[in-house]
Amino acid sequence: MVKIICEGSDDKTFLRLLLNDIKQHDVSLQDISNFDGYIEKMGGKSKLLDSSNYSLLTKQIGTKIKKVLFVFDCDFEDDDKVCGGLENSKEAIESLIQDLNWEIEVDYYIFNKNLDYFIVDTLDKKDNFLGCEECFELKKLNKNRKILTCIYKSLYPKAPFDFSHANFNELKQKLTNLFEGTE
Amino acid sequence: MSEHFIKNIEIKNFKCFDNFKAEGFGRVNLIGGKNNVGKTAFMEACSIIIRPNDNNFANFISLLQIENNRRLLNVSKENNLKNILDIFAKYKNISIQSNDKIFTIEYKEKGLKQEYILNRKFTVANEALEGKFKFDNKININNDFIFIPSSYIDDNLITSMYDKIKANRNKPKFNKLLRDFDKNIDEFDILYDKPQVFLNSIKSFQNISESGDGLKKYILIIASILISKDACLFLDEIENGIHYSNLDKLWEIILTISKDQNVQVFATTHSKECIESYVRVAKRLEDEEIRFIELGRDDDNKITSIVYEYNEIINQVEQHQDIRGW
Repeated sequence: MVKIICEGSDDKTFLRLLLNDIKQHDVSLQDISNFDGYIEKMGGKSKLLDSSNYSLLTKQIGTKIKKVLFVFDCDFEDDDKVCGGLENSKEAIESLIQDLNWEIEVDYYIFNKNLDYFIVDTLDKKDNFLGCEECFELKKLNKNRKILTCIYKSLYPKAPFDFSHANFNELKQKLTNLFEGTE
Repeated sequence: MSEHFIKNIEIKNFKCFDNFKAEGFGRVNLIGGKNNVGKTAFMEACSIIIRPNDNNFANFISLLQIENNRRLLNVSKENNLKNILDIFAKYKNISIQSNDKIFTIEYKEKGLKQEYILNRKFTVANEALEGKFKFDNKININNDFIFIPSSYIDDNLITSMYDKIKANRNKPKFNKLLRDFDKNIDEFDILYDKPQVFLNSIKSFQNISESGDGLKKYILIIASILISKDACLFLDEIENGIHYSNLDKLWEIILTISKDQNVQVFATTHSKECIESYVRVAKRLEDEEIRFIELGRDDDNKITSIVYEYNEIINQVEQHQDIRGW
């Protein structure tokens, strides 16, 4: 079995949607009816990067769990000098993987800034949404662009994301690799 | 945790277990895993080791009982010695350890003479076996444990348990629990040597064999937990025949009474609904003495386990993680 470790509910929902999209093109995922059991949320980035929160997963590693993929946001360096920003986040996750010392295949994927930024970058009408953000000064309310993704989901509930966008490729590849050759 | 509770176990050369270890069991333990991964065998090993290592050979008699429950023995007076020799031969390198107890059979050949050494203490030569062990084909009730099998439900077992319920003056409580399960049932009794329930719908008693297996199973579980005290209860495939809407009631009874009566419970399941119900009720009752034991096979096909503590099992169920084996 494999496990994807993410921060919270929004990430889990997004990963479930992405995996269902990959499943349509990847025969090796055809037998999986529900991806929920493969995705575990840690309750935030600080908990995800804290090795003391992995006692249960450590019990499962090697016997039940054979591969792990961490997926999380790098966020902003201004907000967190230690773990914020892409470079600090890379350093933090590599340090965590070393501390955990799981003798299995472990990989990670970090969203540049955060999931909402990542999604807005892939939207067909990105410029319109960025214009909206500027016009309403949304960054003053929430710099994570969550408001923009919520507006998008309300406007286009039936076609939430364009998973064929090139920005998804790296994460899709990591997810495909994760499920490759395992039950 | 009570002294007599099984806290850990090491099983060697018993059924599907070559060399298995697990620890951290609680007062109530639910066991999950795929087919043929040893869930029942795990409980059987526990039922052997929970009995005293005394010179009444209680552990060995439990082993005979297990074989009999699985219909692997031909029980008759004439076959008694043959059965015993067969069991010694079949389990000649068995070793089960738990807490400070150990059950072993070692086999030795001295020239033409064969010897079995039981529990590292008692040397048993063939000729001395006759008359040493006596058992019959009834599921036995002893003071150490009760084992409720997944499907085979013997009326004699229900009758014996009911006698104990009456002796303990627990009949009103037993009937109340049955009414909670099914409002159509008014009371249980043994009439004309047959277990019967009084049904409100027909205003008369009906043999429980005419009811579904679920009712029989429920009666057995309730009866067994009511009569157990400072003992251990094993429930194989606990959810068999029981509608999901009754599972919360069942777990509430098991968790509450096992605490009052100081009973350790081991149960197996294949059902996600049963696991969810177990966790939901334990959380509501804040019963931190529950555990979940997940069995699976490693890359070498060896059986291993993960024992989940209270917070861990709640986390896994609330996150919709599949913990029914791998």
